[in-house]
Amino acid sequence: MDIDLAVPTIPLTDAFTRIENLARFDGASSLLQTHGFLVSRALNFLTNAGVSPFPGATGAEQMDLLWLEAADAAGGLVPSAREALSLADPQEHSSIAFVALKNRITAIAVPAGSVRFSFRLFPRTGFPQLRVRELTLKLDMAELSLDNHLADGIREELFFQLTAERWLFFSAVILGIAQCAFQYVLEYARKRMAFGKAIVHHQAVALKLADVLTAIESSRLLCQEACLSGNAGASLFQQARRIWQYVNEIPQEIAPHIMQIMGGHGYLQDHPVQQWFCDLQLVSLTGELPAPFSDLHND
Amino acid sequence: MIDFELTREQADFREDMAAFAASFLRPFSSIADQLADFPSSLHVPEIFAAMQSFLPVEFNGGWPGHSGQKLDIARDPLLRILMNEEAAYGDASLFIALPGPGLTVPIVDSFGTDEQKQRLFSIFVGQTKPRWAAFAMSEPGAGSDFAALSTTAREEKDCYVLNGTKWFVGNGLRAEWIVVFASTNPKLGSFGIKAFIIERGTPGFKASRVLKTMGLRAVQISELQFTECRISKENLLSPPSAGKRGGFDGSLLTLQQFRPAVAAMAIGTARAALDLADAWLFQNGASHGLARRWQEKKQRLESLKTRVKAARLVCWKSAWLQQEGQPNLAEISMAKAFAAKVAMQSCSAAVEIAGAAGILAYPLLEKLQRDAKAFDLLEGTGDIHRLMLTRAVLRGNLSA
Repeated sequence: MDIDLAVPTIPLTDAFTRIENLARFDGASSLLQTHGFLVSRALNFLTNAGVSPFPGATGAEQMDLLWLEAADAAGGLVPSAREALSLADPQEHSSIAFVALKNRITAIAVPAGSVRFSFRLFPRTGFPQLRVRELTLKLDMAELSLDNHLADGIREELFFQLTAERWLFFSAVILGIAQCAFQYVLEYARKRMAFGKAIVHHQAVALKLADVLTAIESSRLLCQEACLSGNAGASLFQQARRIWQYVNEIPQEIAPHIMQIMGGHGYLQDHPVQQWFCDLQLVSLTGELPAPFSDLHND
Repeated sequence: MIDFELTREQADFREDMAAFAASFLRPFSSIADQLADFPSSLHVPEIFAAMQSFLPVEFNGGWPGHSGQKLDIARDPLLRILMNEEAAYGDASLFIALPGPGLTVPIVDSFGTDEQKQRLFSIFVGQTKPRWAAFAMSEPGAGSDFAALSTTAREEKDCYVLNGTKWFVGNGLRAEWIVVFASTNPKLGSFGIKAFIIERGTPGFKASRVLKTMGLRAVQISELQFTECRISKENLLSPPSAGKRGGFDGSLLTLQQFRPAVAAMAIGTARAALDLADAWLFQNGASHGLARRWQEKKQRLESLKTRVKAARLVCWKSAWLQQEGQPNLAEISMAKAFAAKVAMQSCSAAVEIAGAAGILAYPLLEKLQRDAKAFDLLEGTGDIHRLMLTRAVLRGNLSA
């Protein structure tokens, strides 16, 4: 399945479904697709607001999005803006950075190479093919702030919309990987024999499978309902934050069940389940935003 | 993709039910629990009108819609779910204890003859006193494994003779008539099961006692005994047209229709508990010295509310699939098991969050916790439904 990094604006429901379907086959690509969708939607928003911070940027090949936490410097230099984990590379691409200060959120346009920037690759076993960075940036807010370009209200609206969509899209990645893992262990449980019958017919296994499926399906319904509300123009921030917290239980609490069903086989690299387990942990970490973002309220 | 938007009519109905529950269920919740009965103070015209509304529209039932049309809540799966959630938000126990045909509607409506429908349903029409019907399936030795029931129906020339004991019969002691399942030939398993109508006063039939339960006390969950109980063949509710498993399929039909309703009641109960805990936190937040712990409690409530919403959407999906004519057995089991679990989690959390002082301020919290466990046991336990869900997936019967 192809990743489209310069997608036109499509309904939220379609974007969600595309990401989830992609994640069922290729989790890494679905993460990149998520990034692509978010950048496209940000550009579309800015164009509609009559703002063009980076003329010529049409998609994720020219622009990134960052969510950064920083100490409040009241219009001056932000000494240490930090995002826990990012797929973006602000050295190569221009970025729109949302910066959570002590009492407010601001948006900053960061031209490529204009900031002092350091990163280290995040040590991990999930998605080894992706470069996931832990970023630290020195930003000059006075110079780079979008305050001059985006009116109060519009700036917050952009932040609330994109953050909500980010949570929903990362949820889609989790659901796609989890669904794929569920199908794999279900097939295994059908074939694997123990004590004279397929293990799927042992109650302990059957009950675990039911719980896994319930977690996936109920999460998917929550996301789909939110996406439909988003299509209709509703503000999703609070709803998406709660949904993300709910869906994020899948990597933490449901994924161990999935591995457990396969017993020792689930731990072997002969099967993809251990890799999906690691991938889910990484999606959970990268999808999580610094606390100041999650504590915000827009209603 | 499922459409989560309610129509104007459905939304109005939901509001009507919420208002009904606020006026006639919640205020009588505690007294009904203490009495372990349906309070006589609720013998009022509004309750008798509700009793009639549970019947199919062509038998003078239906809920008066805002458009002037009667809403057929007996046959509309989504309306039934909306009704059960809102009513349970008022009080699930009292709602199940409401006079009316109860669980009997699907089987009588689908398998009854015209004469039987007219005879059985008409007792609820235009009444000025409460009337109940009941549904007797479970036995002391046959719960989830219903095909293993031991109540027998011996066929004689002009009648059937019933022998056995039924358990967990809601409103059994006060019912005018009861749908009873019995085996005409235990060797045939589910193929031998048939449904019968037993009217109160039939010789050999005794509503022997109310079983003392932890919760749902107003429902008067009863034990019924049949000893050489002779009933006319006119009271057989499994006509030849119903097929070889008419009785068994009739029970399944009822369960398929009411399991999502039980899930919806669990959701309504969970909502009620969380709202009470929320109210308690709100009242005590300002004076609470431990702001951080207060915030943690708020977050815990918020997380549980998301779970309640997730359970509701699973429940709605089962109804939506039924309306679309698609198989929904897997979704029904998922909804039933999940909603009951969420209700137990929510009620326990609400009690913990409110603490001893909160329970004194809102005694209903303690009752809701007792009631919530029932939803995990009624109409197939949570574990049985989780097994059924996995089996449905193995057969490929899942819409996801």
